[in-house]
Amino acid sequence: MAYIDYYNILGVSKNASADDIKKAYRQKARKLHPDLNPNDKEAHRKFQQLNEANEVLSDPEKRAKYDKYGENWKHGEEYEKAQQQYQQQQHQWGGQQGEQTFYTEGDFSDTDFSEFFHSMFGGGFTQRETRRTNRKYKGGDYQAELRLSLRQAMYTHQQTLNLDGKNIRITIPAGVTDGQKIKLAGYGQPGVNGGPNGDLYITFVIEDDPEFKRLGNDLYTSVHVGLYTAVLGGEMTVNTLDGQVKMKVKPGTQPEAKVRLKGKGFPVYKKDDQFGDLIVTMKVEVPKNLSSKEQELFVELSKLNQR
Amino acid sequence: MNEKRILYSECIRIYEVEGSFLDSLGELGLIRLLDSGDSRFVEYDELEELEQFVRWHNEMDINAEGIEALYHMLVRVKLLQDEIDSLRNELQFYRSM
Repeated sequence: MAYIDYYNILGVSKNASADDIKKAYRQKARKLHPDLNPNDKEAHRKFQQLNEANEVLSDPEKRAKYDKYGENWKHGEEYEKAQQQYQQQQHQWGGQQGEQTFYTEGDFSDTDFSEFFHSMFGGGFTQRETRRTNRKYKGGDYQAELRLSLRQAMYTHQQTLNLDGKNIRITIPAGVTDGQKIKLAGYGQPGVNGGPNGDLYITFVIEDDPEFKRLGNDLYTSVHVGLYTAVLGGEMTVNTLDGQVKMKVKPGTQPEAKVRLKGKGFPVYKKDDQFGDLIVTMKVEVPKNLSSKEQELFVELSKLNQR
Repeated sequence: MNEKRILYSECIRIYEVEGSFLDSLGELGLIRLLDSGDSRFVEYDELEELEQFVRWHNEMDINAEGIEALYHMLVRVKLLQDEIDSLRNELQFYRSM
């Protein structure tokens, strides 16, 4: 177990006054506060350490215990009892095993201290436990990722998430975007000392679709158009995300021409009956392997064009 | 409607803040204080942000004016972050074309 030097965390000396500690805590909190460092896990970890250090060093009683017992200050009294019991045993055994020093007052090796506790009380006492203070703290937030296909993201639907064995049913509104986050208040880590629970943040990851690309609320797709339809115009069927629609092809349609089908795109998030557009790119296909008759007619056309 | 608001005095007691701090937040438009008869209230909807402001005040020693500046900066950061996400999606779209 690594020793955590609270004085070092706060950047103050061991004889710092209560005012120095308060100032140092607030100065560092202004830099590391989670509200100012969203999504920065390192800052969150350091802020937790900072809170822990402040909690101990700003309370004279706890600080005195920490100065005496180091990181196991909370178990100092148990330690002293155990140490007394041990000394009594040593006394009863007389000189059979000789003198052994497990503990010295004042400066001590914290590693030895923790190991000693481990041997006397088992691992539970040497684990860093949640600090109990009078102050209420909000529990930590959970971050989760939810993958949806483009087609799933198109409809309002419900999904059940399992969080620490607890099922949470959430409604996903149609039109969520890739990277969008929603907050489920109170589904994070439990609060400390009756503080509120943290929140659960879910980030949506929308997977790519092989047929449709999405940009904002518009969808993009492409269709193959035969040369004759492109030249003469006509009508064709186009796939949308939820079915098919008929689309007119204007005579003289050029390769890569785009047609906008109003309201056939993606639903607008949290706006009922509002949809983006579907933009269709025409991939005009030039015929290959012409029959002799077709070739003859194309030559004829070519000659007409040259006149 | 009464159950959706909390007495100003209760707020001071629960959050352990000075009344002047709540007044300043109210004057700066960061929270809404409602006067009804002889009593003053804070709406429940305001409590989440109020808790955040109290945390900033207690943990970072930031006064109401500082909180106002910080609040607006964080709103801007959030907007910029949303813009980055949207541009990233757009870039991904064009890359996949």
